[in-house]
Amino acid sequence: MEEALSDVKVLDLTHYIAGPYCTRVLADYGAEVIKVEKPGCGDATRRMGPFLGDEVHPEKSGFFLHLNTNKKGITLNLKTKSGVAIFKELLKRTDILVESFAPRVMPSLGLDYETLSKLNPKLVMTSISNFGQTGPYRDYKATEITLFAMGPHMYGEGSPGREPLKYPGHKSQYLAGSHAATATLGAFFSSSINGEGQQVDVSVIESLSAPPEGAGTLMSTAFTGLDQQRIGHRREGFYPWGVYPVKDGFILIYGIVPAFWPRILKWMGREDLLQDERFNTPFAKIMHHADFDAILLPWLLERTRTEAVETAQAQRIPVTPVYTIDEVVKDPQYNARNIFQEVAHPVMGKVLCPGLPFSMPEAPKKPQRAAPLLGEHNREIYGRLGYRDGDLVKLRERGII
Amino acid sequence: MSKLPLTGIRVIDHGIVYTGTAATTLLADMGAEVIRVEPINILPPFTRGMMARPPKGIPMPGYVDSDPGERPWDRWFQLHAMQHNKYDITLDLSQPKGVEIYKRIAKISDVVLENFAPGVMDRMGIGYEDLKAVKPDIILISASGLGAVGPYKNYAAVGTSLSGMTGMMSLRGYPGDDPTIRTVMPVWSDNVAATTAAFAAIAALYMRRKTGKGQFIDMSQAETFLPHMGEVIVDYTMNGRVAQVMGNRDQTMAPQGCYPCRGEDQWVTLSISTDRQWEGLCRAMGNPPWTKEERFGSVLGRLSNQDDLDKNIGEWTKQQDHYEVMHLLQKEGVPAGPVLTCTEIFSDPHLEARGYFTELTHREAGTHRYPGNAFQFSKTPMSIRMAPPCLGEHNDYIYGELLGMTKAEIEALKAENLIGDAYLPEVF
Repeated sequence: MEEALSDVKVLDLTHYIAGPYCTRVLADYGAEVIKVEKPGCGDATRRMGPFLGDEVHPEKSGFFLHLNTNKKGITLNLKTKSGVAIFKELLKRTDILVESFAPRVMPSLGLDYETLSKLNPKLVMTSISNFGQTGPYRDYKATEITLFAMGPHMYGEGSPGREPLKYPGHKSQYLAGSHAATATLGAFFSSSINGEGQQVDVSVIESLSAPPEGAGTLMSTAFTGLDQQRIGHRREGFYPWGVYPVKDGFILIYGIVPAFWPRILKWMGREDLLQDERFNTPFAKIMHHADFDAILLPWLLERTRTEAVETAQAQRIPVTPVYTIDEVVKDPQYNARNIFQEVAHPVMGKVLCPGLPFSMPEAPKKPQRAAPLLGEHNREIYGRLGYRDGDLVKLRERGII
Repeated sequence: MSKLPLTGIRVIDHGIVYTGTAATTLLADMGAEVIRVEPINILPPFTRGMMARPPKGIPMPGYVDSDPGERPWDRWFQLHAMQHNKYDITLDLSQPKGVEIYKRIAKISDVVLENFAPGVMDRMGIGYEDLKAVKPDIILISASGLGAVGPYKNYAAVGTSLSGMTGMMSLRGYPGDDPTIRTVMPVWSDNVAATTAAFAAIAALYMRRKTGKGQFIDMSQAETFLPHMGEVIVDYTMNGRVAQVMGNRDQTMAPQGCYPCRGEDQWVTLSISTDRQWEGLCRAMGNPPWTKEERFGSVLGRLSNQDDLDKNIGEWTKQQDHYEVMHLLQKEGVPAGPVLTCTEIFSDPHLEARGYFTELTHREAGTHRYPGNAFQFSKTPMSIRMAPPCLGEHNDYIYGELLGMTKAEIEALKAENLIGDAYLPEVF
């Protein structure tokens, strides 16, 4: 039994988040991903926290570990002619190249798609960038917050009278990475049959406006002329929906579907309220949501989170806990499905990381391989090209690997 | 021109709400023939409205010009956001004959993609074993909220629920806020689950080419999303640190934030990570005296004096246009971007230059611009080949051309209310 992509070879020129997440997903399903890093310093994520024990060290970044599991790592200096020549040798033996340099970089190295496709016509070359390979903002600098701002989500995120909010973490870059993995595999699916490769141009800001969520927000404006509003969870016409307090924490209630309304009253043991004209229909309760909150909130505050969630779930109402990160890691459902996987790293020891986004029953269950140390697989990979140990010493002395 | 990458692959779209629906659109955009199967005896939530026949005469948000019109289900924004390039048929699966017809389509399909709660497909008689019996190498992707096995497999869980259970909601707010005011929509995880479900379908198709076997993929939407929370999860498992709300701030970049601009409710964002970028920002602001203060002169100084920094920068940005701030700062090599409304995104010059939007005239909705994808293919460009389908628009084509039914047989299905192009009169 083999993994889905076990015969697929990927050359990985990515760094930071979106690109490495794309190639991590390909590696998760068995592709041989060779991560190419700059000699000496490597991927910038090696210098991004969290670090094990808060010790800043290129082999102790948990962020780098998470984004680069299951890959092999080599070093290569693409700013030297010899480095470019070696890269082209590697490229002839690959199916997929993923890169996430600023769009001007690959052409400046003589490694544009036109040139590379002549060396390897079946090559799928995925280029991931903040704004895409063309357009007036192509060379603009960006960080997570400046990208997120230019999608349709930030303007409507937050409270009335306050500033718009970005989402926590690096959601834009991860999303672009997920899109890039899907697009890359799609392009490879046909190139592996007809031998015709192509370039895939992935843009982080365009991933924000794509279906479903971004496109949904945009089409709402296209149809009604109304822009996003920062109204927190108080969305007109939708009730109850939001974060609610309980005795020992918070829960999320999603009760806006009309069929849920009688179930909610049953959950609370207040079916009598169906006789109350403020609450007797799904419309009426929307109109009188403040009155209903005045009944719901004290009732919730007498209950623990577990009690509230379990009794609501017994009525088939989507009521769930608001977990803090420690609770996510301890959750029985995730653990029953082994979503968190221990990764054994030569420097960091054993680290529990989020595992595969999904499992394939037709693929073998294998332990996750740790992210590569800087240049860990130089000998193996360059050995395939015929370089001997003595050659590698010379290349190292010349700063090429 | 070469064919789109997934040409020749047939997919049954049994998605509800966002995840499955958008996953199959992605496959359709890449060339798959996607057949969306919809009921007419109930209204599935969101994709065609919240009510089959909303009241007339009052403005109804979500419909074209806030007017539901004669066919509300074809004029609803969520249909138009994520259903293009698909065939749409109707079929009542609560009738045995509906199930029998469904299996005839499954028999000539490669992938079935759905995101019901676990067990729903089985109860309808179209679970994996049922489908496998008619098409031995079928691929079934089931993208439920929490997965089909495990102690919470029967939880009622929608996207909102998952934002709580993945830890996202615990971090989504202003520092020190009351969590009950936090925004719950959009929910975000659907973006990730949809994209990943499409990936799973292609991976399984590739595997099938090698092994000849299909498979059933029990996907949990929450699990597809947890890797996107990876760095905070690893910080907890390595260091025992539980992440806290950061708002617009960053651990190592300062100043970073969202600042008011000229005009009503206009904002710009910027991030500074190096001394050089800081100097660039100061130059762009005209080097006001406060920027010379020693406490702002180093990375650590800026990180520990963010409130004052933000106040001072805000005083400058208030006088400026948000787009202008971006262009001005970009000239200095400083990352900056305006916070855009949807109206501004539709007219953004960069997206325009890249041809991101497609103008489309729809039979029931009129002419509008539709957003594109996160990616473009160089040799097989994707496009909106088919407008978002009206309910049951392709019944005649799919039942007639594909399944070979006669006109009389199709008419009989209509008469028995198995198929149609409108919800049955009693549907709310």
